[in-house]
Amino acid sequence: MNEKMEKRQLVLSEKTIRRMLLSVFATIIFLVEAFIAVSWITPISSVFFGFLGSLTIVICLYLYVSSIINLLKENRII
Amino acid sequence: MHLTRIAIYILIGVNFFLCLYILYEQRLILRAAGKILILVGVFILPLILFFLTLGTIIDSSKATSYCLFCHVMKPFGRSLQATDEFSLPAVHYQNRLIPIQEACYTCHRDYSLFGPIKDKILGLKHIYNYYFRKTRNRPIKLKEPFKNTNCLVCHDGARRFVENEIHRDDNLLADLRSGKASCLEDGCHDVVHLMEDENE
Repeated sequence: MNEKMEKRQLVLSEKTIRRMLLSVFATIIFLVEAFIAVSWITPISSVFFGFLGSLTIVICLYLYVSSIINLLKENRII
Repeated sequence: MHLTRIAIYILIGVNFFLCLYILYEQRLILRAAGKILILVGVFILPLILFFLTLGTIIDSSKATSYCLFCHVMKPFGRSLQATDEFSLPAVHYQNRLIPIQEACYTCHRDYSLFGPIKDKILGLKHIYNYYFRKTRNRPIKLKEPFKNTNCLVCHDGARRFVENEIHRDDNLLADLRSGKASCLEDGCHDVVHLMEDENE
């Protein structure tokens, strides 16, 4: 019973941490783009930041999801 | 300032400090609360911000000032101030028959279900053509004839429209509604944007 109750310590590899940190950096870049896009709305800026922001958010979400999948795989949860 | 923009700025600030905290406490992922914090900071908040920002940009792109930002559109903007009493855009604009903050969008938008999305795609094509296909020296004209729907969406059923002798003709009205006859191109309301040289 105690063994079952015992919390499993997760193993964090360098790869997982790196991806997680990259996703945080991508988020910060996205936030800067979103700030500029909302503050300065012109035809060119909305096309430019619309494209760039979409690209950054896709990269950010990909890095986050892949880091989570990596974490789960390394700890044999999936 | 618009309420949505204030919400966006607040969310950007919160998300930014959350990201800084995650960078500072890198082993947050090992704790249950940390996992939730990372999920919120890197996944949920950016997604919410993405859609809010997109909505704000699309909403702001309806503004007259947005359309007239491009210098090729400036003569069309000036034509709204024309003194000719038969110039449709000028009459609509000067008599406040359309919202002046969204003057271009009100008359030139596509009123179908996916119209606003089609309009955005068309706008992107315009920018692409202007910068990459060197069409900047060509005169600006409508891609397809002006749709009656854009007029009738406001005028159809209005007292001034219905009481007009010409509009009382049922055949004409049916043709206007079906698009067989044109409000602008069949000799009735054919004075549209008056450019400076035409106005003189």
